[in-house]
Amino acid sequence: MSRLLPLLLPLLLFAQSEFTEAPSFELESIDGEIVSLDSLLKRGPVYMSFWALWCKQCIKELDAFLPYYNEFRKRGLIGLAISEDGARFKARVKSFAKSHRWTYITLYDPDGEVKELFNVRAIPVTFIITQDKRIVFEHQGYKKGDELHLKDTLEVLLPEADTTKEGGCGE
Amino acid sequence: MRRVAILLLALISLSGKGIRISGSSRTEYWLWSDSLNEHLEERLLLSARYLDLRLSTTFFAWETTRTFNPYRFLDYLVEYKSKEVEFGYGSFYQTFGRGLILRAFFDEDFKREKRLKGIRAGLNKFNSSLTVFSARSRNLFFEENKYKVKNDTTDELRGVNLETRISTPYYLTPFPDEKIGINLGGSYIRMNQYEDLSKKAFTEIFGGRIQPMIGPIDLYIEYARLLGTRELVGGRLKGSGLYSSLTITFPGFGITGEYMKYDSIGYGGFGYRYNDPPTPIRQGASANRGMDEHGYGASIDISPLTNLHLEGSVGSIEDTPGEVGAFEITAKSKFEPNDYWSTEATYERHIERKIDPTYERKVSDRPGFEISYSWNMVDYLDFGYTIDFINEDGFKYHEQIIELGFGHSPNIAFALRYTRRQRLKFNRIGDKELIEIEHLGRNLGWLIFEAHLDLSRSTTLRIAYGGEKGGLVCSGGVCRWEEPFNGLKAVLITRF
Repeated sequence: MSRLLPLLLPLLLFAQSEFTEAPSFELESIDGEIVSLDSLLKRGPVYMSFWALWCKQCIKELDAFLPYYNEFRKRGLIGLAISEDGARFKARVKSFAKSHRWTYITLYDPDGEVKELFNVRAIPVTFIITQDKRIVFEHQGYKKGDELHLKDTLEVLLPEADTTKEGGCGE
Repeated sequence: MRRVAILLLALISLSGKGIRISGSSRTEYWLWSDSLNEHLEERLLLSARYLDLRLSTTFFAWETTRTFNPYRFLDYLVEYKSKEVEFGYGSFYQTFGRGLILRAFFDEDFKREKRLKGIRAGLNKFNSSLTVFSARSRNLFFEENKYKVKNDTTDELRGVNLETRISTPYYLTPFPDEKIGINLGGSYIRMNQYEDLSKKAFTEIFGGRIQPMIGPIDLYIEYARLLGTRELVGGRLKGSGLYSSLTITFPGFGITGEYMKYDSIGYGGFGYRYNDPPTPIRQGASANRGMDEHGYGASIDISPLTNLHLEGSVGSIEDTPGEVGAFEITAKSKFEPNDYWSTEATYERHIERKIDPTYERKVSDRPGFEISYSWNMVDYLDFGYTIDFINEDGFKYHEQIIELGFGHSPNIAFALRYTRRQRLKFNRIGDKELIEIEHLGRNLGWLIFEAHLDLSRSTTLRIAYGGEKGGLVCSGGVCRWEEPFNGLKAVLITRF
């Protein structure tokens, strides 16, 4: 047991450094399209949240942020809801996302590849990625009111409403 | 250990040379209050990226004072991945289709990992993707508070998968905002079992799938065929599996139906599988994991108002004689009258036949509700109550769970949970009583306090102190007994 401790201590110190650049990825959406982060970032900054059908807090977060997201879409924000459900739940993910009237682009990540790329170990986790691929916001877990912190961050990040521009993929 | 330290130093020193280093660590510590036994588990992921090249490493170490056999491994994956081509050597996860043919994955919460180690290559071109691999698997499983490798690690898997997408331009579809498209796929896996006593044994599993998507309608059909060798006795084994689902969605409405029929499609060995035939049971139970079972599932999700969401589902799976199986009904309504209040009411009914060796038939009816109130959109209180009416082979009792939670956004949450069981099974006969007491102990009440703290934007700490009832936990058709626990559990997660 004690032999593990020398490893953990430097690790925790090392862990304080900031992870700032988002890796590229491509995933299939619930509408059967292949969606690439790089192409989305050409259109606007990205809000990205990892969720699963079994994760109550994840769904609460996506529901709670939805009214704000619908406003920020007009300023160019693109929302991604990345489902970490296994392959056997694929059929239900689409039904669930559509029934919640989510305007986020819902993506499947059944093998957890993107989850691993972003070093996500527990969900929900939320990221905001700017167009130059910097991760400027990340938050683990959801508690009522977290959506307001997210909103405040986006208010600073995004310019005032430009009605000619709208994020999302028309879901 | 030395190799990990060298690797860490090497990666840190390279971080200033255009190589991007990232990673995460999850450290879990348990302390049993009665015996003072300890459990320490660390899974460290480190990744270095340079242009299209990536090196990922996973270091895992588990030690416990309950046994003298710690378990450690160091996995890695060296990968080149461009938009069109990918090639990798090392450890990876892979799923073909819905898992009927292959599913290698990691479920960290359930402590179950099916990882492949070998070579993988892929080509993405013309809306199609081709994947080939050759690898050996390691099925790591946590049960009875120990990590165990369940499979025969000399088994060798070789496979190929081809998927293609055909989409119709939007102006040709009858649905203005929707597309018409068809996804087609086919897979082949060959498994060599060097340890099989039958001569020159190998198993082939292959199949195809089609997924037409016409506006709001999404149909999926997958068929797989298995040609294998009967274990020990030899002789040709033939199996087949069918999985299909139909989803219809509109804004605010979604309905899904599933049907499955499996006959000798589960492949691997005793206690492990390399595929993962889907089960319709949300709790994760299956009859015999693809050997001889059929089932169906249906779910409906409706949001008639933006603040009202209704869900319902039914699922059933059983073997052909109808002796082993599971059935469940779930219903949930969630209503948020304003920003400050939210309420949720749930009802679940589960019927299990011979899923657990301690009973023949178990019926569980579980109504519950949860109320959450926030007075300033920063602090909130939660209250939840669930009662579970259980009937095990005519022996009736109930369990109640009361939960109280407090949170302060964005970084603190506390919860107190009390589980109360009505009585012990003293009127059971023979071994069944003994098994139950052995698994669940003689306690009738379990109180646990949990705290969730965000130490920084990328570090969280979860601490729980108190008692956990334990019991049967299932995921993806696999179930395990969790022993009762009394003591301290702490989980520290960091990303960097």
